[in-house]
Amino acid sequence: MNFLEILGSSLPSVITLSVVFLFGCIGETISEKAGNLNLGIPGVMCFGVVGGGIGSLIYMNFIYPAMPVTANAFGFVEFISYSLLILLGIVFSFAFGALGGLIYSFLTTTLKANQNVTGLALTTFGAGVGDFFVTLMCRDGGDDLFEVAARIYGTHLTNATLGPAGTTFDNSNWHMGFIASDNPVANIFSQPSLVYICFILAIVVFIVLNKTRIGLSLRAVGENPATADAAGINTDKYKYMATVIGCGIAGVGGLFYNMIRLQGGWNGTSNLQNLGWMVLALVIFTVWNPLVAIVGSLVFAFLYSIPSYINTDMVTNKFLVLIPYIMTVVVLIFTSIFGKKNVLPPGSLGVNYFREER
Amino acid sequence: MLKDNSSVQTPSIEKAPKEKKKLFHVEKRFNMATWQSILIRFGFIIFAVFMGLLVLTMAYGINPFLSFGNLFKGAFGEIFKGNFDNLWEFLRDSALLLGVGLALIPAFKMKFWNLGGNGQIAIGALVCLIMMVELGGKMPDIVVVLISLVAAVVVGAIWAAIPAIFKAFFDTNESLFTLMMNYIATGLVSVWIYWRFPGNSNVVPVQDDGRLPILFNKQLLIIILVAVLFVAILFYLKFSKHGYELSVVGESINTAKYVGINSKKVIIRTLILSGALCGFIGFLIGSGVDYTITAETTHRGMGFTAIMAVWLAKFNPIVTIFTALFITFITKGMGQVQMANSRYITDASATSMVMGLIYLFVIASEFFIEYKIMYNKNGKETDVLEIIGGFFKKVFGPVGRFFAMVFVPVGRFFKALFGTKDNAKKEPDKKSIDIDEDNQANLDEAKQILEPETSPSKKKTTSGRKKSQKGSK
Repeated sequence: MNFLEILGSSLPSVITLSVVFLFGCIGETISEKAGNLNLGIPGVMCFGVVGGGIGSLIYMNFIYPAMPVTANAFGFVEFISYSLLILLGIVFSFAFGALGGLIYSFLTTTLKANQNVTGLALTTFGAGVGDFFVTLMCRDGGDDLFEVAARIYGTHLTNATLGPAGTTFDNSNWHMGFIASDNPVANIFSQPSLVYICFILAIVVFIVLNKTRIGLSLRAVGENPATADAAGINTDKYKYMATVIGCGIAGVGGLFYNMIRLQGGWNGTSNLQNLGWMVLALVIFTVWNPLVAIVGSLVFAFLYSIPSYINTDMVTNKFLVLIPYIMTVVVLIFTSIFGKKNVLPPGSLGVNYFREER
Repeated sequence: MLKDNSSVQTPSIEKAPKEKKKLFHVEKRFNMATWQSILIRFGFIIFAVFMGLLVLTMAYGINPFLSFGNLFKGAFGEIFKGNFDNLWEFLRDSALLLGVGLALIPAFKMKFWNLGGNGQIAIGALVCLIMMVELGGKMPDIVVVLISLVAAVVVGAIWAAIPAIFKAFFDTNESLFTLMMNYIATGLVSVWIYWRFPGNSNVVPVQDDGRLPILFNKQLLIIILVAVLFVAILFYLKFSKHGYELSVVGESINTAKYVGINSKKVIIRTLILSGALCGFIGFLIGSGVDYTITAETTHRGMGFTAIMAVWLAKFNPIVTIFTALFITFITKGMGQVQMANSRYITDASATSMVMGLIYLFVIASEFFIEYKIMYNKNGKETDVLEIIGGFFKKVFGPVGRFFAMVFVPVGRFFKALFGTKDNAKKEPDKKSIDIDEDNQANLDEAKQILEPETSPSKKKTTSGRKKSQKGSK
């Protein structure tokens, strides 16, 4: 099997996974730029799964019966219905993720609690909440609703094919949000709309962080909150906003993971938590830059999913799983030794700022 | 607006000094008594546990009081029936957690955020298991145990020293580095498992040779070893030069430089100690508890749990004993709660939810212990906690009132839930049915007689019926 073939066959999985990484990475980058090392990001993504589940259930119970999205007819009504689902999912998962961020920033910024400890606690809590409530929602036919919702999430507007509503869906020609077709270019550019939203978001966040006054203040708060405070910037407000918005974005990543990566079939928190920890690695790997994160998330997703596409013995396979982490460590070491200012971690990362203690 | 110009001006002058001060503001607290701080923490913990159990109740209708009982059952088992197995396991798990906590305390006192406990434990257990598999049966058990002990300690130390060296010389972010080392360690474990035990199962068989010797029962020796470790660490931190140096480095690296402490040396030395102890715990798990190894579960997430235990104890080894016992208690107890309701809850989600709640609440409670929120009323400042305390005193002051406040509504609640309501409903129904059956013929007659005379209001007819029944009886 040559490299191109592996690339081709793994690409659908790689792209969906990279979007999960990218959502989390953008959120964590914003949060870390304001000096909050949010180790709660795996938990926050689980929060997002719960929120996305609630949004999807609201859609399936109230909007879908009125405006069903049916097979081979993707007209105006279907489009409205589809957009409402996407909107509901994003709003609710963002809100739940932001709730996690609110807890985190309340504890660290207002109550000055230790960031590492708070993050770990939030991860524990989020993992429990995620598993508990998604299992709760999956009872009494909720999982079937999730599957239908997931199918609609996975629709891409260029070539919508769905099974008739209420019937079991034939998954044979539908792979990770893809319609398997002979044309590889069509494959790459026919994606669920959340994928495009994510990539655009990365660019927008890059511009906001690096080219606007808000971004400048945010980075100042992250580098040296005392100086920022002296310059008249409201450090608490920036820390709050950055963490809450960042966690909200990461929460949308949780929605994407459950609805498109897993196609609505929740399989427990532990996998998502692994991805969440990799997001933390990815933020380091991409040197706190959302544009680099687009490439970095693709690289990480490729490295993460490549072992299952190569036919080697299990030992090599298990060793390949280690590569992303080793690469992250190498990047961490290299940036700390040779790094210029713009690739180093924010100056006050992990340290709280309390004006009266200085 | 223009009309009341004169009337507005006068109060604004009076208000001006008040508006300068905020309604709430935060101050550092100095005078908190120990019992008060313990009371605050426990209040928050109990509140968090009940919050968690309440979620279970709302979701699945699980009785929270029964769950509270299950918490104790899970941790201590059936002690009253003479079965002490659970209690021993509880003590052993607490001891292991305490051991990891002891490993982390020196690093954390130095403000080196060692998040790599999981990895250091896993790598220690891995080396221990390698020794057991390769040497077990070929040498006397005691030799294997000693070799694997030394190997686990050394490798654990190396595993922690790598981030420490980079931290000391290049100021590499240690929390991220140690976090990554966790995954490399667990990955190496699975690489070894797949390399050494190929085939479908890929499970390390339970090793019979090279086990830790058994003293009275399987758990006691581990507990004793951790107790020895505890005393050693206590002395190391309190009475040795090293312990003093690392606390100085933790307070301020510049001060350390000024005093003439080589901070790089201290960082690396302390982390070697920390990693060695984690490796030792890994050895205890491999050689004394599991006799086997899995990539994901061998470390039991203790690297993270111990951070919570240590942090709740404010890096005090003695207090860590209690926090370790408490965390193990909740973990085991929630396991039992989950077991008791296994048809609803199929995973450890409830456990981690309640644990997370407790952590978050305790973190929040820490704020009330370190700082006080001053409430500003008419320029007079009072502590919010004092206001709450005063409120409780006012409400619950007299004992009788306390009982009235708490138990009467609870009693009513239970009365409303069980029994009384149903009886109240059923009794009149039965009576009416009896009457109907007995006097059906009489009633029909009465109807026929009464209806033509007093038809306009139904009330009258009913009363008329009753009268007629009585008359007939």
